[in-house]
Amino acid sequence: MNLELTKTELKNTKILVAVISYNEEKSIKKVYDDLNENNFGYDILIVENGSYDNTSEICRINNIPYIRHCINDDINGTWKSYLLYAYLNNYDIVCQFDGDGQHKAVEIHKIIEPIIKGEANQVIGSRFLNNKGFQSYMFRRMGINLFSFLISLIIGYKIKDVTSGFIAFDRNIINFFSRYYKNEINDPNQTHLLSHFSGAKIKEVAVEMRERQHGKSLYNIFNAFLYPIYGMVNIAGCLLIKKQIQKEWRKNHEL
Amino acid sequence: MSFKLQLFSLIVGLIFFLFILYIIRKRKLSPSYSVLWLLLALYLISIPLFQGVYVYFSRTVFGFYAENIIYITVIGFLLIYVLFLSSKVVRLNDQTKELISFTAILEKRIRDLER
Repeated sequence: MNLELTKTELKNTKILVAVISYNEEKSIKKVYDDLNENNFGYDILIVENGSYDNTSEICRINNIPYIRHCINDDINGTWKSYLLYAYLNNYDIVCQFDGDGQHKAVEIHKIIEPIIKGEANQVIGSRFLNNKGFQSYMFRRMGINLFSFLISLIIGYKIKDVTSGFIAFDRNIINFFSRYYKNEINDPNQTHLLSHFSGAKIKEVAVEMRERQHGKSLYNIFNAFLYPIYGMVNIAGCLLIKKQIQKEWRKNHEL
Repeated sequence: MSFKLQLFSLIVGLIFFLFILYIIRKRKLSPSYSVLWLLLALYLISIPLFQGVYVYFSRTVFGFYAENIIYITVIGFLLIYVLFLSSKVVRLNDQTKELISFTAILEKRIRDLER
């Protein structure tokens, strides 16, 4: 680990690693241990999205800090929760991490470094940059390529892995999403677009991913056809509110 | 409009009006919603009562049959109302999400304090 670079800056940045989980009683302990072993001074928080298995019970027994939704909020509900948590507890950087063992805790410093150095406001851990590790399935990759193309077109620079769950946000984006933008967000593409509209710079960093060990993918064969359509609608919706967001957010931000 | 049809629509309009009044008295409809519905009910009642006015108005101003005016106004009202309701739903949805997140965070705080 080349942490010497950042060690001094690490002392005065508060970092939160939010592990999102839904029905992941089998892997949650492993993920937590993995994170704890490689801990270089971040806080860990499990965000549990109203599971019906024993995920929260396991957290309680093992003294793992967690927050639990009283009802299951859909895909991006957890996202809202940890950003709000980070905002209320004055974190500088939030890193999203999956609870199913896809991501490696060793690589957290990779996606946090660009933010500490001030190179980017949002960093995406991408599995397609150096094509190592698990590369996802064919159909899913087709969808990802399509949305990668669309998003890159709008943003103006290339983003390859748009659906990656391994993302880090800085203080600006935490403020933006927890204080200003209150509407719901249906998929990660919207996140990238909205944070771009708020003036953030997005950077991609190569990481390796494993295939999930337990749990199911959010995307199954039935919504494989619907998902692209929803995605397009969501992107179009984002484009419609672009002007308003830029105007209002910049005004608030200067105050 | 034949007399039978006139009578029928008057009765339907009256039942609708009374039903809305009943619901409002039972407090199942908030005032802001109920006013809009009452207006629609009054409009429906007024159609058979002031038929002549509508026919004259639609012929001279728009140049088509009175029935069309009635359809268009009622459908327009419903469209506006549905739009109003969906904006309310969006608002409620966002508020629910906010509440879910907030209660989750508060629950963690309580747990931390109890320890």
